[in-house]
Amino acid sequence: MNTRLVLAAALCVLLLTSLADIGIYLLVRRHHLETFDQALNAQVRLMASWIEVEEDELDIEHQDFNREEFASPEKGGFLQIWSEGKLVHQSESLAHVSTLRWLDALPAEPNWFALPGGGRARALQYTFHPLIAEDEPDGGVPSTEPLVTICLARDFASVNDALAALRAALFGTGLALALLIPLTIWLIARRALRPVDTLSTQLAGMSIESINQPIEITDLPSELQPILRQFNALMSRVLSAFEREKHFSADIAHELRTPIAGLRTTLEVAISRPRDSAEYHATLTKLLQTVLQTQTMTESLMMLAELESGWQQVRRSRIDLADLVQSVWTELLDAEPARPFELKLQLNSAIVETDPDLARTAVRNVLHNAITYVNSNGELEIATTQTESGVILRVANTGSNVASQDVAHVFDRFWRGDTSRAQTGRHFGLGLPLTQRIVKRLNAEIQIESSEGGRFQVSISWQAAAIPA
Amino acid sequence: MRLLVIEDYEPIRTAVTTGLTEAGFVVDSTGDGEEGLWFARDAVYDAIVLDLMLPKIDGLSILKKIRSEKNCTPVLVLTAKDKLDQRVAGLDAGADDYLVKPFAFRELLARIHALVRRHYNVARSALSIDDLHIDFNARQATRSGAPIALSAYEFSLLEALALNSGKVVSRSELSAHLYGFNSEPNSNAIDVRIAQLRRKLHAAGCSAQIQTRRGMGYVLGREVSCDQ
Repeated sequence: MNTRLVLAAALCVLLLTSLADIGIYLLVRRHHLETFDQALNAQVRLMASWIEVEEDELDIEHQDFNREEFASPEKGGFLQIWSEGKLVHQSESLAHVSTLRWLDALPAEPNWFALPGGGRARALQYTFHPLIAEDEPDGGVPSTEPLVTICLARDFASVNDALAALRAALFGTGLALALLIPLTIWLIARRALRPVDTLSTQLAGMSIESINQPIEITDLPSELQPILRQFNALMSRVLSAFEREKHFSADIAHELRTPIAGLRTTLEVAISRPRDSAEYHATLTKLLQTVLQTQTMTESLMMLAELESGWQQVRRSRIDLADLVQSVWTELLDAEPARPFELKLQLNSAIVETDPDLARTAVRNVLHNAITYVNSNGELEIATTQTESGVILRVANTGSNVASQDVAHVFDRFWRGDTSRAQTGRHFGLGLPLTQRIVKRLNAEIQIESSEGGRFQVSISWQAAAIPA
Repeated sequence: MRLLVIEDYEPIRTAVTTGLTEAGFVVDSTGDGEEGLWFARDAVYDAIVLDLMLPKIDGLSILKKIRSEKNCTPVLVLTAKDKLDQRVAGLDAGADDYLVKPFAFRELLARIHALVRRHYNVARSALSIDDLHIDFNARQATRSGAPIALSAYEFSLLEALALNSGKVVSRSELSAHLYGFNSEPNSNAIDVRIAQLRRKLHAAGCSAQIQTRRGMGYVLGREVSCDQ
């Protein structure tokens, strides 16, 4: 990752600097060429001003044109002056070559031109009517107006040398940048990514034992800090879920060990000596009770697992909640030993589209809870109502020992208001958790209220959307 | 030997109580932490079998309370919590032993025997006083290899005297050792049992004798020697 990042960055920088170098070079070259050509134009016009017509003759002062720059080919200046098809002046630099007819060969505007001795020059020809000498007696009007052409070429080698030097300089700096920039990027990246490496090392070093230690890196860049914070928060959530599951597994183990211990001890004591048939019958009855309780608990656990994993199928149909509650209540009263309490039953028709089997289990759990925990001569209220906002089942009982601060725990699996199972021998702390998961699966809502004086109320509500029109 | 069983799960409580009673112990039992604490404070027990998850007062709190009141009765914690931390917490609170549910009843019995012997500073499961040999596990008394036929109460009485041999044991101590809260002995029941035990030991030809210390109680033997 690190190397690829550096390589990509280096390649980008190299490409950009190369493009910039080429741009700079082309601009400089164009500037040189323009300056060179301007000088060439200016020179040829200056030279033209030196040529006059005097007494109908061209007056060329040759020494004016035999300047240093035209002395030899090495000096780079080449000049021919033509008049009426005749060569009237040629620079020393062209003396060694046989007569060249540059007239018409050269471009009118400065352009490239191959020199006779090799090399490239900028050249132009300038054709004009020379001026009449001022001292002409008849006011400077010549009888003839000869056409004069100046052919001027200047070797471009000196500029080429300068451009070559520029090319070399640009290439040199480009090469240096190509080496230095990746190195710098690599150093910066290494420095910048060091906290990421530290983070990665710390993550790699995490184990189940150290999972509850949040990762702390002091020199982490501010950009990475939110990520670390989020990660630690995520780990904290994972940890609490993990702890909950661990606790749940321990609870399952505990809840299963207890009835197994009961069965084992009862059996061991029973067979430790011969007994009469009445004793055996009593023992077997007790064993059967224990087995049935364990079966109920196991079934609740299985259902809980199915609901939590989302396997539980939901088959909706239209039911009247009042009928369902009435039927479950009658069933429970038949099965439960009666305890004196005041019953307030208000079952109004409440039509809802839901899974009848799951709803029955939920209603049964809530009613069973109420009938189990209601105190002697206490109150038990059951009401179903249908309003515009939805359908509600309310079940409340007095005699609860769930403190209001413990309400949050009632949906924890195996949580019991009292830490023992002595009160009933049949409550495992699974009823309300199971009901809550069922209600959630049915897209309904469950609410618990526990008020001073031991009133415990469970409300299950279906939103209007679940109610058939 | 008098034991207290505090266990809230009824099937275990009933089975353990029955089993221990049949093994010759006098057993008081309850499924309620508060009542259990009251029992432990009110009577003298040779050992307490204590569950940890109890209604009203949990087992660890009971243990801490009775230990803070200088009650040194051996306590065997009986629980389904098997994690090391939980075992350590139990032992730290003053438990003498720990048994995880489900358990073998024979193991529970052996551990209770061991706890009681340790409590009375008896290293072995058997004891000799002169020519009288008492095997606590087998609940059998012998003289020179010949068994002496004793009833459960008589053996319990002999056991209580033997575990405290050389020391005077009061009538009320013997009564507490022999009878649970549920049985109400007659005022002279101990004297009657002692007389029967004396007769049987004498008939077997034992040289070890139970002596009466008037106004104080009874004493068996003069010196103690551990078997083996």
